[in-house]
Amino acid sequence: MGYLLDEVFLQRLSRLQFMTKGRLGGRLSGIHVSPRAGMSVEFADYREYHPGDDIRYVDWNIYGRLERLLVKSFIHESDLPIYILVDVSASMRLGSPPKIHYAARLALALAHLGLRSMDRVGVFPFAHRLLASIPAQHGTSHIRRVHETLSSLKAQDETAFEQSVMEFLSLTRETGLVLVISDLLFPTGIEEGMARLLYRGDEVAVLQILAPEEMEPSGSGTAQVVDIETGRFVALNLGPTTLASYKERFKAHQARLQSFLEEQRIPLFTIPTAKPLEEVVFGTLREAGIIR
Amino acid sequence: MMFAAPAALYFALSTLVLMVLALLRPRLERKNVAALFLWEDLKHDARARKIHFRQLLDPLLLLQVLSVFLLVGTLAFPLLSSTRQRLSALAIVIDGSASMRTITEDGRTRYAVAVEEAKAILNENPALTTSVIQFSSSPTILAEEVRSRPLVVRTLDASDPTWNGAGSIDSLVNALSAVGGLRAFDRIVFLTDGEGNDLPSEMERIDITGGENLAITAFSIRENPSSDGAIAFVEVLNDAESDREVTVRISDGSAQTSVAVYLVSKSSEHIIIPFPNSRGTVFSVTLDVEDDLATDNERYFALDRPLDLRVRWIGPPNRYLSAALGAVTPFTLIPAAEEADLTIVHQAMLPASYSGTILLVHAGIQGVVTLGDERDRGTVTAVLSSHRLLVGLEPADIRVFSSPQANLPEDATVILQADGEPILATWQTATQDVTFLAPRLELTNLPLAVDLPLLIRNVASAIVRLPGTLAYGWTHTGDPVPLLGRGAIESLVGPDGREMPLPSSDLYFFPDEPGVYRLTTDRGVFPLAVNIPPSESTSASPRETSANGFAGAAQRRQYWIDLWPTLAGLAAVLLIVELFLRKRGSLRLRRGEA
Repeated sequence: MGYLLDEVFLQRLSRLQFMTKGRLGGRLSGIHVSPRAGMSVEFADYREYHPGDDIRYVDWNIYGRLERLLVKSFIHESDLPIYILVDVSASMRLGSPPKIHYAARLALALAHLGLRSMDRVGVFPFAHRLLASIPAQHGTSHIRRVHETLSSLKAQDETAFEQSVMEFLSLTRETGLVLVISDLLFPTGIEEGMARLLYRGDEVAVLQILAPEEMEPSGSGTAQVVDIETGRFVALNLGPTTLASYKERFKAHQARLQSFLEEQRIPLFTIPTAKPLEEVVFGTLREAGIIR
Repeated sequence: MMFAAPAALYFALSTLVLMVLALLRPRLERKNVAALFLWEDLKHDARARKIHFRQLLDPLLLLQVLSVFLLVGTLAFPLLSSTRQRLSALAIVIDGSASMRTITEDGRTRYAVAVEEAKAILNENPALTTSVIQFSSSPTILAEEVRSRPLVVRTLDASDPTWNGAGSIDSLVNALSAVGGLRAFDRIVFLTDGEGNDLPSEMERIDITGGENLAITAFSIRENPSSDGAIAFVEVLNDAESDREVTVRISDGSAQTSVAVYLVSKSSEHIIIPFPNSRGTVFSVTLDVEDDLATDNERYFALDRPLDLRVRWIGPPNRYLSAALGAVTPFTLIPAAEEADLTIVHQAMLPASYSGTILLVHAGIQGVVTLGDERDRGTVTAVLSSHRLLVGLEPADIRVFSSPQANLPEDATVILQADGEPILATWQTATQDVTFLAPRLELTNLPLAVDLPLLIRNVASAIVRLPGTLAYGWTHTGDPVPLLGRGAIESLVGPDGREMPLPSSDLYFFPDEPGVYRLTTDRGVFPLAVNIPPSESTSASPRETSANGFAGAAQRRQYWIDLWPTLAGLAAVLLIVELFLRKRGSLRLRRGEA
């Protein structure tokens, strides 16, 4: 466990839990409000009685005054399925430390946080497709499995986000909080994948892990710029002009991504690998209301 | 340039391997990125592009490729064709014979063309030492092992062709021996318009041709045996490319005759031209034509004997006889003891030992001719009216008032007589040619008439045409003229009328230009006709290896220079430089790392 995260960090995480904006449907009781009417003490509403309804929930006082059979409904508090989609494509090897390493630590932190909050946590590594996944389960014993999975991640293959989302959706029936951890540096599939998640009703948050070099590239002379996923390359003369052009393109890509996610009410957290993980969890995510 | 082993050039393909290996070398920095689409189609940085090109044009690679090319070139054994070759010793033999004065199509003489050609050879073959020989029948060494090329050029420019004929190959070899011999030279070039087909193998011949020539190639004068005067024998050559009609004119200084001749191209004609009434001793023949060598259009012939008649006078002088003789020919009176052309015996008795041509005027020869009593004579009649001594005379006009009775030899021919007594007679013995005129001149009308000079002329004309001491040959320029037997030399006058330095030898005189020389000795004045050799009038047949008849167009000699040592040396130097640069680069790298 201490391999990825130290104990102090983990203890601090124990005091936090995920916050969701909407009501997500966990099957088990938990601390999160369920979209279904439940058996909790918190009254929700009245509705017409239909045959088959539990007569214990008929409000007889109302019937006495109004001679109408109304059934009381209560807020259902359920657990929160938390799905952590971790990008393990080859591009995640980049950075120092590698982005995959940073992403694994972040995923583990979030999984630890969810499991401590009695939520079910599933880990779904993806690249060109969904890889060996851990279904959403709860319990402290699940933490070890999550840790083992995350610590053994290897960045490889190309990214096919939409395909991976489709496979993810086919594996999970319940809506939940989907945390996408990726560099999101692929030209296509982002919008389509996100749309499919939103269509099912999942609440999505995107944590974009970037190496500082990707945000502020440097270099000089002639270089063979190689796509680490596809192996394709271009020969470029790196100089101020070229690097400035790259930055413009990168900004445009980020702006387009930001614009789309805002439109879909999906929070985007762009996290450089140089940023301490504690600062991300206890600062950025907490301030954004993802956790409390 | 050519290659002795061109197949080796295929090794040049190995440079492709070298270049491919160089290009495959991981020269570019590899930069892994997550999103290539952000990098694609970016504008190249101009400054970085220069660096990129500098990387592509790796100077070390260029040096390696160049070295490979040079090594491949070395293996192919390249030979460079050049007209220049550095020599240690060069000999230029330039034909200085008279024919080299022929004007070529561009207005220069063949000799000038040869000089230019010699200068070109000097440029082609810069030599440590250069010897120049002007070759003719009298070869001259113009420069002997001269190291200064400008001096050689000045020597060539200052030289002129001679009037001599071409010498023999043996004399040329001898001349070369004087400057070291055939084997002493790396190259011996013979610039000539002559034949010279039997040159030694060490010599290289360059033909100098050009110009058309018509010429008198032979000229001789002989006594006309059947009538008065002379006969000219002339050979005329047409060496031009077209037929020509020319006029051949012969002159003896006072009279001349001419004849028109049609000459077919590349042929010669032998002409016999009668020259009646000629009494001269110096003749010239002229070809009235315009060609490229004027010298041989006029040739000279002299009867090689004194111009002045050497006269031995015995007896009292007689002014009429002397005047008549002087009117006929210049004469010199010599002592009675010397040999003479003509012995005039006037009213005296000649000893029988005298020989030669003798004119007896009222005189006798001891034991042979005696004179008797004088008697009055009547009309003179011609016994032999067609005799040569009567040419121009009118026997009927001759008056003889008295004449002696004469006892003549039995074989005497009486030409004129009066009253049965001989007036004019002639006879010959083994040693004497005697003309006998019986009366005293004062007792005839001959001193007052023209008949006496005519008679003397007829006598003298017979004298000058006598064979014996006369020489009918002509002398060529450069050839020796024997002086022996002409007496003590007093002066020598050249063809231009100027007195020349006396010959250093009493045996020979070497005339150096054509024309008539006049040699004066104590025995008289000798005319010497000198002509350029007839062989100079004929152009050599163009040879296959020579340029065809145009000035300065002689074929350049080709040399093959081995280039492989140079290429191998350059390759070695380049490889050393490449190694040095590479080591220096690695040293810098190590220092940088440190």
